[in-house]
Amino acid sequence: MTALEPLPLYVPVLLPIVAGTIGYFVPTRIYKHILIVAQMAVVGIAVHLLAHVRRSGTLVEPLAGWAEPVGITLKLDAISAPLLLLVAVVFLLLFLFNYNKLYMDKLFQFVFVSLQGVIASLFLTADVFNVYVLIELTTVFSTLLIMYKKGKPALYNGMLYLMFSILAMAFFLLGIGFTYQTFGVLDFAGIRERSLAMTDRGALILPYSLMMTAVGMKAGLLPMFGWLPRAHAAPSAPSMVSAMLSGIQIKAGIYLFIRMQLMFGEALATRQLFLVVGILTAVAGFTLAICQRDIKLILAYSTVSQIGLIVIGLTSGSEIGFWGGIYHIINHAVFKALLFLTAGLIAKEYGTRDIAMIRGTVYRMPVVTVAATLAVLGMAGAPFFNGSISKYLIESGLSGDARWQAAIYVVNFGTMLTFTRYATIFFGDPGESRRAARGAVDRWPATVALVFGALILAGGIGAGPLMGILFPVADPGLLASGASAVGKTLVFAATFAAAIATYLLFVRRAVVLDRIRGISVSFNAMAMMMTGFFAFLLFYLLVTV
Amino acid sequence: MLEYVTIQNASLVLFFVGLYGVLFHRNIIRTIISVNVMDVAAILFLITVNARPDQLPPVGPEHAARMVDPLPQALMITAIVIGISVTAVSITLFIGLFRKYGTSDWQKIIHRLTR
Repeated sequence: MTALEPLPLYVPVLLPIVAGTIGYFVPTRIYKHILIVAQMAVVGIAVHLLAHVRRSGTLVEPLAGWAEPVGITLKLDAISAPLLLLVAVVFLLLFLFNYNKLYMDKLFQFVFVSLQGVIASLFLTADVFNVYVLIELTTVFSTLLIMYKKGKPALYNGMLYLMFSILAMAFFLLGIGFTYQTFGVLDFAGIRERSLAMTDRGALILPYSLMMTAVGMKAGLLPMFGWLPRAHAAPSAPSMVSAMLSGIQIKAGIYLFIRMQLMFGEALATRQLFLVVGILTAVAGFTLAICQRDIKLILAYSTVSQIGLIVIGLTSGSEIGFWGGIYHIINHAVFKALLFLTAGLIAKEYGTRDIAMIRGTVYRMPVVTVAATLAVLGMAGAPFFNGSISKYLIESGLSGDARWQAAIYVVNFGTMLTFTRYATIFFGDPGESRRAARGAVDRWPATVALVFGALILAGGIGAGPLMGILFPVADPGLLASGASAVGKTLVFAATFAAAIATYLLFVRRAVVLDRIRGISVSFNAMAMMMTGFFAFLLFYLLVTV
Repeated sequence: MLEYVTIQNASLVLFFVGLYGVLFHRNIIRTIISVNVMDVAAILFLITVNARPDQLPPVGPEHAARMVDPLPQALMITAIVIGISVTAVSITLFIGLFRKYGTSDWQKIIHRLTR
């Protein structure tokens, strides 16, 4: 095959935005189709760029003729190329899902595709100042989307999210200042190089902790995830927005976390710290998820716990664990997006989001329930589903130490417990007469939901070849080897049975859960937690370095 | 003693004054202002990086050797613009919020939401 010249890297960024702007002048019906075609093109381009990266390594593109470190450079490497593809695929599916929703007016679609372009460019950027600019942009776009249906809580959620993000970015900007003062460069590669050459490690502490505080907030790490459920499960936000925020946007934060660790991780020993933070985040996430009654809040808190799991994988210190973490980013994006979309359909059909009020969706909405079940199984890490592969990889990345593995078992158990509870909405008496309700759901969103479900299965069954295509892993065959399939199934079955038993015996009637749910954290307390995280990171590094 | 009184240190003090405002004031307008103060402090800090008092502003082709490092200056123009736009968005949001809830207190809004 002849090597084609790769397309310029700005194409997947600009294409959705340009299509959104030009198409703004045509009628809504046509506009929708223009955007869908543009998004299909972006998927194609992402595949093409991924192929190039896999064949000939990192793609670098200086913009406007200025070379590094002065100019702005776009870079696509082995980590960001699969994530770029993920962004493109999920956005396309979300658009198809909402093909005939009423709130899909022009402005909404325009903001949505612009956000797609900005998130794509976050994965392409190669210097910290660009990151600052792009994160501020995503913040503003996301705020608009969160409060798009101007409900009462929506305004508060949007305001909270916006202020908290700006606050975090003030930390980030000061961190950029210290970085520039210390290194004289702002690009990822330059910072990494100079931080390794630095004899005085102490000079790295301040820029690192300032920027890490902001990145940790964006990724939703332990003390700073208070904003996440409010933003991701905002009661009046369309489910498409929740799916996008929880599936894609939070992953941009995780991606920055990866970059930060690649830049400073070798010079500053923070791996153990973030391993612990990851575990604590995961435990806190599922604990709060179990307490919720609102199905979207359950999903949002479970995002927190999965973020924790991803961070565990990324900081496991082994290659398998790292790529397992990246694979979990992709898997989580797919099944969490599907869960939010189906939750939106279910909540609309039943007119409530209270988990206790929704029963028997399998009778009332059979197709949607099938899709949601696939997502739940992926989430719980059932054998043959994508979640099982990435969880297994994360676990084997920590195989050296029994304590960490035990922690991962706890996290997996918590996830299963959460989703055992969530799955109660599938069964039982649907309440109204079955015949009257059936067929009320549009065929179209249900079909797209099934496509998502098929992706979840494909990510599990075809994990070996898929990972071989996506990642530069040494031996993809080993990763998905069937040797341990029986053992894995047994472990899964045992954990699942334990989860069901725990649910029936304890969780169903626990009063403590209502207490915990009642806690609401104000903005000031959240800001205090963030400052606390910063102070802790600073002192931890001062003591250890 | 006097050698500690630099613009850089002043900007750090300003940053933490802003942070104090964010942490201990429940009024949303004050939060917006405080975050702005932090933003400005960070911008001030970046402008003074690699700058000495005897240097010239990076304007025009002459005296290139005596000019201050132009990169932070260029970046901070962007940061200032972003700061302004984000502030505009947050104030617009606040107006909507105030009309709906009739208060500008974070805590009171939470109480009204949970009730």
